Amino acid sequence: MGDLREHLLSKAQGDLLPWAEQRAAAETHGMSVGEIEEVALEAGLLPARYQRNRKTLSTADQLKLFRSTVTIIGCGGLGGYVVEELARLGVGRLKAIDPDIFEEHNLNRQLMSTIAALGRPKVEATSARVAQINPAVQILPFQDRFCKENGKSLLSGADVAVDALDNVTTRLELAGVCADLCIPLVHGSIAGWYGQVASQFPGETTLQTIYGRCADGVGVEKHLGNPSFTPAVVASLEVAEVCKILLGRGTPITGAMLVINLLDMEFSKFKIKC
Amino acid sequence: MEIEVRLFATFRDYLPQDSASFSFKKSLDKEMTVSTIAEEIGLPPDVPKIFIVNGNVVTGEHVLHDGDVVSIFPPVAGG
Repeated sequence: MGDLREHLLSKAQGDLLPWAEQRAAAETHGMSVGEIEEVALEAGLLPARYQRNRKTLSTADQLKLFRSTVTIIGCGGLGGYVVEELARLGVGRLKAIDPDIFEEHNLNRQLMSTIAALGRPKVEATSARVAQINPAVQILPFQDRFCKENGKSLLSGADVAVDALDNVTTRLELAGVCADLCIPLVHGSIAGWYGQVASQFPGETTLQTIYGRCADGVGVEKHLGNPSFTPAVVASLEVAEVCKILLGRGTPITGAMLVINLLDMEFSKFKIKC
Repeated sequence: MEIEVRLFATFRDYLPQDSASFSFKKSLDKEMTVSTIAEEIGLPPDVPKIFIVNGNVVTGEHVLHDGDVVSIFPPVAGG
């Protein structure tokens, strides 16, 4: 491993490791590009793809992100953008869960949906996309419907769970499993011009408090639908929350809910006393 | 007594015409519950509502007091 470290240091441009050298080192040493990435980061080298992160995230931060596991529940409107941004950010291990296949009505907003992907499982297209944009990231697809029965298995090993679901009932089950496993949960939901984001740490019951009386399991999205821009905004806010939680930086939206109104461009934050 | 009502998302359509931004003041001459306020505003009875009074999520039976700020949301649950 010392030889590999020295090899990577010799191939670096300053403290940046170009992708071509990362890939060549993987072939030469019979390792994955992900394994090379971890050795490089440990040596203080930054894979060159992250160079525009560096004024925001240090090399040590990138290593921490690379060693993290995030589970994304739902690979539709929110989940597609969440997976894309986490992969580009450099989170090392992503677990993507969704039971569905892409249909034509997904094309207006779901990032991973393409005409070629119609009829294919969402997690399959999501996995292929990650392999295209950042092969150092390990993506584990699960074509399965999250529920409290399989939840503990699906969330096992996650440092953070991301709610990209489309109904209240499963959200509350997810919140329950996260509480049992002591996993922080980042919540997002959308409807038309509107959205909301919250982070729930173990011991908190923000989601149960917000949704506890919504017995029928659906919200106003049933009538409003979702345009292209709302999932992109809310998913990006969720990814910012994940990044902060993984790095222990900044101030997550905890014990509170951020309410987003893109029609009037208003962002309102409410404390939620549970 | 007087309360402040804040409406969000699709409930914004039910703001009185002269209200500034997304909230309005409402005078009450007797004690009222948040559900009664929602009915008076004309919010659709078939849409579930989330009520937050002074930062606490409450039930529709919660009785309002002078100076309370009540925020009313429809559930937003899409993904």
